[in-house]
Amino acid sequence: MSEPDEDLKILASVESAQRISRRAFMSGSVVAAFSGSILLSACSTSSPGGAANSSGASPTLEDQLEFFHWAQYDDPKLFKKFTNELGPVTHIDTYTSNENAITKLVAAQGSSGYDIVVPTGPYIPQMVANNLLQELDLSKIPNFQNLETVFTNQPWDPGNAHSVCKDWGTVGWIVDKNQISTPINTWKDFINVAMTEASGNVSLLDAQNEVMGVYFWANGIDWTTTNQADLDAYEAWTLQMAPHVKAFESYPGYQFAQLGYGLSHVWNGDARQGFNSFKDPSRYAWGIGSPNTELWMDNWTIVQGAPHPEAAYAFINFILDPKNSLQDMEFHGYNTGITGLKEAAAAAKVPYLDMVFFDPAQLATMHAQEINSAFDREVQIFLNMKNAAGA
Amino acid sequence: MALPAWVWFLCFFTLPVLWIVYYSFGYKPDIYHPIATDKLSLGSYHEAFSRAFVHVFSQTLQISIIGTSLCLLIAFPFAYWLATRVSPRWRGVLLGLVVVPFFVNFLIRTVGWLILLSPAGPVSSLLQRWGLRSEPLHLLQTRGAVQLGVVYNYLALMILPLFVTLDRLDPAMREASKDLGANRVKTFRQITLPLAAPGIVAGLLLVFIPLTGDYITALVLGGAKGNMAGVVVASQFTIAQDWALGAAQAVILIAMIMGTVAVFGLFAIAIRAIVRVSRRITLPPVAEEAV
Repeated sequence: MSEPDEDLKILASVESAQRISRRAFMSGSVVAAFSGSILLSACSTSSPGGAANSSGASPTLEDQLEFFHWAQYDDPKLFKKFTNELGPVTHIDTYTSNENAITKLVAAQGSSGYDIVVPTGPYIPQMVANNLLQELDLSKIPNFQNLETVFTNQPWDPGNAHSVCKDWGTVGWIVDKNQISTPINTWKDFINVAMTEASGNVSLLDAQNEVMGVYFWANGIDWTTTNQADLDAYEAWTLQMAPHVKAFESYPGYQFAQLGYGLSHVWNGDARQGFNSFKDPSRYAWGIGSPNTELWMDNWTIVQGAPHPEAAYAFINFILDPKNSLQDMEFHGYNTGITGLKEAAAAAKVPYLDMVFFDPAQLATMHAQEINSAFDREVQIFLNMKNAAGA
Repeated sequence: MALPAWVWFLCFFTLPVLWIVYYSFGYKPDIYHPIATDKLSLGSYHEAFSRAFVHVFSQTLQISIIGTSLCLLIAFPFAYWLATRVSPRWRGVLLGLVVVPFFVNFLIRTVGWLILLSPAGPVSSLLQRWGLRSEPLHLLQTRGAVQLGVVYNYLALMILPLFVTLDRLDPAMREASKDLGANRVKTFRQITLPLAAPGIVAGLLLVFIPLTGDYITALVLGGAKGNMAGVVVASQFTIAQDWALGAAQAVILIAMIMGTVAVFGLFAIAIRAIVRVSRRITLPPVAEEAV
């Protein structure tokens, strides 16, 4: 990590470039620690244009960019490259759930000091209704045209008025074939094996949406249901399932082998990271949920009251560049929706592409969640399941 | 001079706790607002008690009572040995070794056990090599792992106060007891233990209170089985964003800790009273005049 970056495009020695960005980074993190948007905007207006600004960058670009982001979700080298090419120094604060991020943004009422936040699609309508997101000026994101049209104009944000696809994925499972002999092809099989052969050695995602999905998909119920009878049945199932669960783990992929799980419920990108780390990949199998399963999409959005909106636009445009997008995809293992990404990845010999790109038949089985009146109850059912799992 | 301490206590203890108590009577109005207090009720307490949460509470209490007892059982002989048998020069070194792990962040120390205890980790492979286990160790993500983790994380908080009291204990007391014909066991029971009581009580409180509210150890090592109340409270705040329910659970947790301390405190006072009555020594008048 410490070797000089080959993509460095700065007219200064490597040492001084590092010093510049480190100092700027430090000041950025101190400011963010105070959550002081006033301080932050004062900084940005007093010194427009970054110290490391290079030719080709817009002169009105602010010198900082504040992310409110999921942890470890983009290749860190890309942030460095962005700073080197365009100037703004990036700083990232992380959150662990959409609800958590939204609550903080609501509480800050436009003074959070963040520029970019990355919500999952179904959360966007209410964020817009609560005036948390800026309307996007797509003319400032010319690379928007690189996105496949399938991943634009989503039901939760018609016309991409507030969001742009970051990446999307689905959910499935990893099996250790040495431990589990029963083949798993559907969510019903998943539940049966979890309650029998893999009992006590199963991890479920630490995410209520996806755990709920397992039950509804297996039983042919629309997972956006608000029917109380369906939710009652789901609640009863969680209590049956709970004793078989070894851990609620959001990222079981890379530690699947180390912890010796028999069966894990897993995001496709994380499963891929697992397969990349396995010494003997043939021992494990990956499966994608069926007959129905999830399609989630995380999106770049600009926060209402963002102190550095131009830098935010510049970053979104930067990350939608096909070359940068491919590099990011190799890091996180999710399809970024850029036209020609699959071919570029195949040409670059990126492994396990079948865990990143899905065919139209598979896509037809994937459905997005929606946030509706059942949401609070669903969360409490899930947390209660976690409490019951220790019994 | 007393003002700063008083202000500190008010601002950083009393007010936050009262705030939590106030929130616990509120409710969650909709998914984007974690708390509303325009209508106050006991609804959150009702909800807290009606769920599997109660089970997690009793498990937490078991883990913390067993953990605190294990800390005492391990720390007392060590502190006694350190205070009475080790030369002053080595005493400093050994005390330093007890404190050194505290220079490392609590979370990182706990994550270290993930590596040590994993089925493919060093402990597991050593046990297999020595023939003590035929298959890999599956201790992680169990209650046992949490029990081990909390004893490790809080042991020093027991050793230090015990060492201080035992170190201050004048050796002449034990020698006098020996001269008066008491054997080692009797000396320990009637001299060392009663004089070390303040240190034992301090150690028990220092370990029991933070251990019961611990959240990191259970989160890192516990998996689904080794859940503790701290994790449950935290998830109401961070995942469900239901601050009213989270606050109610926190208040219940605080009450449980205070209740347990009160019960054990009363128990200790009762035992002391009984011991005093049963061992009452009435000195003959002659002896009194002689003094």
